[in-house]
Amino acid sequence: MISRSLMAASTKPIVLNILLEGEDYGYNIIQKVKELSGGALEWTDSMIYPVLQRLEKEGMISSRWAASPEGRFRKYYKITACGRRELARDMIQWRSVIEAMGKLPKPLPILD
Amino acid sequence: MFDLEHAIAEWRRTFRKIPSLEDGVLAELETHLREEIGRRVVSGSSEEAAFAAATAVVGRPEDVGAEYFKESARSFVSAPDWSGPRFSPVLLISHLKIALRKIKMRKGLTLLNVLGLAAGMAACLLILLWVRDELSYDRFHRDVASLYRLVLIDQRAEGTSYLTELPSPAGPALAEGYREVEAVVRTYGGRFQVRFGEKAFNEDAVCFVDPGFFRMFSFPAVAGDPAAGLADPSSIVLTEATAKRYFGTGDPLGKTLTFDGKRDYTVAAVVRVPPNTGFAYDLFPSLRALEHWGVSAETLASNWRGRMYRTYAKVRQGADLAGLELKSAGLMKAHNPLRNERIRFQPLTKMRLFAPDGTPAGMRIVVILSIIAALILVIACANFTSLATARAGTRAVEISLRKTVGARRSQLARQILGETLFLSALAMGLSLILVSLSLPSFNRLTGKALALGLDRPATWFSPLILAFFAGGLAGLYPALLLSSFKPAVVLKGRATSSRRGAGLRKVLLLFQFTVSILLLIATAVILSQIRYIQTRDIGFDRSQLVYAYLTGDNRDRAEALKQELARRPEFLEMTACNNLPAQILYQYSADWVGRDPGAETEFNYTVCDFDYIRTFRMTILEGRDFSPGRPADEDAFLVNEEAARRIGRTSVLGTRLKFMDGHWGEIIGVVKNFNFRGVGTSIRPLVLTPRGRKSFFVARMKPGDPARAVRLFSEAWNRVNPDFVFNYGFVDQVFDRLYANESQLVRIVGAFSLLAVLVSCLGMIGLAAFTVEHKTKEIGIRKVLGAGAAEIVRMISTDFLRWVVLANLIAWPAAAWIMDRWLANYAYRTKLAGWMFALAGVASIVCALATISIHVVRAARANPVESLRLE
Repeated sequence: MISRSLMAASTKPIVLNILLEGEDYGYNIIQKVKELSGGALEWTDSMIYPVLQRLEKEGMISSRWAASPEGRFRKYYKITACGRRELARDMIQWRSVIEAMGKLPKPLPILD
Repeated sequence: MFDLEHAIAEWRRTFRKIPSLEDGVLAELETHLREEIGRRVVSGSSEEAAFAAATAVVGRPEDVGAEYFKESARSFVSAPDWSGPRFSPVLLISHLKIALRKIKMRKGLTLLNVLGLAAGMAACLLILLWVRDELSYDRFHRDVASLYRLVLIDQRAEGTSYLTELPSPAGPALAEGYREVEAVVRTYGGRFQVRFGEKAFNEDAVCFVDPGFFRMFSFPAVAGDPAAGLADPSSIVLTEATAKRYFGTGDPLGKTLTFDGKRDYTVAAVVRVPPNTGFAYDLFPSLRALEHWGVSAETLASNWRGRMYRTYAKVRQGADLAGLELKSAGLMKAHNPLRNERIRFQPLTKMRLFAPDGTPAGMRIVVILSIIAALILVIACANFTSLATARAGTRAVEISLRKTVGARRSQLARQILGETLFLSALAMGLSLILVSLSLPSFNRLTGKALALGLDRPATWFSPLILAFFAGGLAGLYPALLLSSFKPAVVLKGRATSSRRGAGLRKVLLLFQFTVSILLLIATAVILSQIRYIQTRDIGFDRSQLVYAYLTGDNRDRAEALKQELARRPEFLEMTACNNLPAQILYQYSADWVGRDPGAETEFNYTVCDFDYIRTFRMTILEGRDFSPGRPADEDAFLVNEEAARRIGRTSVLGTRLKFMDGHWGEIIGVVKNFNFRGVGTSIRPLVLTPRGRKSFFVARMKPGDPARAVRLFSEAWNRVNPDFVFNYGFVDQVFDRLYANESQLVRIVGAFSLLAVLVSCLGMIGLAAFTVEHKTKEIGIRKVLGAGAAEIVRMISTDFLRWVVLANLIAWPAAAWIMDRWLANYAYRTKLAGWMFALAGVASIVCALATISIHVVRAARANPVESLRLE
């Protein structure tokens, strides 16, 4: 179980990163995250959609409604140039943090 | 059978309640839900199970909403505002800023709105002040709950009369005979010339009162002890204002005032008499002092014939008043067996507004004016509402946008209501200023001394309530209307916004105009009635008569004065009498040879000299006038037609009549009936006698220069009467004062009906502005198609005029019915004439045309190219 604050902080870079690969819709993004993290990150819709909304308001992603091949209407999100720049900045920060944590005396969790 | 679509629809509904979830978001959540359901169904679940699981995954509406709220909230409000009321100063400030911005945007219309409402509120406040004052008369006495005015009810064959003057022994007899009557006080008014040193004034507000007067009635003492003050028959109590008049800032106690140069009274106490009382006199000598002026103590105690003393009683709480009245009948019968009299106890608080017979004379006026106040306020609010709903169109876009960014309908309604209340508060502030500015004129109009009294916190209560009520009432419909706009519909441009509420607006306008027309007609009728009263033949000529107050029994001076003035061509006839014809109040009982025992014997009387009939140009119908050549006429009588009728002979000439102090005299002539008590009442029997004190000198002036005549009069007076002050007046003005009530009523109603019309016109201006704006396109097209300016004007005007005509159709019958009921109060009345209605109708149409013409003409002359391009 990842703590809420950690989850909250990490959603933005993760979402932006996933969208780097191309346009995607909310439900799919959640599935991808679950796969990639091996189940460690279990996002719910109550988390992701507000984030998507905020990111869109901030101009980092753009959206459009389109019909899926099956005929269902979905809201597809795409990363913008501004979003890419933001992502790059974020990833640098995260990398610094992770590296620092790795240099700590007992880097791995103690499982007793 | 599980219905997936139905379940999803239900699920949708639960989510729609969350304020922070907008329509688009919900759609996205729904697709998510469907994806989840679809996936589970594909992997083998039933639809029902899939639905249950999917909704669990999505989460509860509140939680989802909270997440959205947290993301989107940028202010320092930390909790979603549907989770309980929280006072947010930011929100308030924001609303205020928006309200101010709105005002700046449409300055003209907002000003109109606020002005109209302010005028309505100001009118309302003025009338409320007046009503409050009227209702407050004599309520300040400590024992007011047990205080009563005694009314003498005299039942005769021709009808019952209700008199406020009683025989002097009646009150004390009641107090003595019945335990419930704890105290009784009598009063008797008089006129004297009063002097202190160099200062002398003609006092006509002198009231002789029983010593218990100041114990029964609570007038705050300024100096001395009023309750004990009148124990000595030579003492007198003054009001503060009177004391200042004679003694300036010096101590009044112990000083002496001289009455008519004959009698001195010592000031024992000074009281403050407020204006809202029926005892608005200036000087209060003791009733026992009447013995200095010809009424002995024995007469006071035993004379059951005359009716000249106003009497008041303090009655024990819980006493049976009806029973007392019955018992008093027995008492009166014992003393006056030939009459059917009894005494009714009328609560003191009713003295001002109710007539002695119980009819709500003044109360009716209070009620009428209160209704008018309410109507004017409603008209002003109607304007407000009208204009606000008309503005709905321009605000549709703004409202819809607010809804899409998350405003709830109730929030919007509250905000709009808040804006209205804000404007209403502005209007209230403005109206308070208006009231302060107009109070002096209003006081002149009503003869009162009203004040807003804003220094007392209690007085802020009603204006604030009024503002709240008006703003709430006026803003309710617009708030509901505007907040109900559907964003999707509006933003797609499909709403025909100003058509909403058009029905209500038209009804409001109709109502406003109907009320205004009603008021105009009422004013016309009242004016007509007053003119009728004033010009009706009252039996004598009251114009060109100047009078002065002679002191005491100055027969020699009267004669000398007559000789002085007779030399002057500016003066015609002259007379001395004890009362001006307008002020004949007192009655005495008459007796005559051959009197029918059942006949009414209470006759009014006036004391006059031989020139009276000629000076007032009255008509002798039978017999002759008093003749200077016949000194025996000093003991003779003249009677009026009504008295002659009561005496009931073919000819009363020569009949021997007994009147007042046991004196028998011969009736030498019959005078044509003249109105001596006001045109509302029917004519009573009257006796004219030369025996008695004549304190008025009346001279008929030749028409031309009254100022010069008065000057000559005063010079002659000073030659004949050097130690007495010359105080003069005009008889026709005295008469006019009898109708003061009506003239005041007409002036008040007239003023307020003009105001109502004005406010209605304000409303019409606003509406015209909007209608024209709305029809700009239509007008443009018509012009392009060849319509002339005149036709455009006609097109728009007819629409409005139709409503004005309808208002007239409604108002006329209503006004006719109401004014007919009002006129029924008068014994002599004018008729409802067509011109009163026609005038109001024409006025309303002219006003309507005038107000809308500005806009209409502008629209008609506008360049159609411009108007079409803008659209």
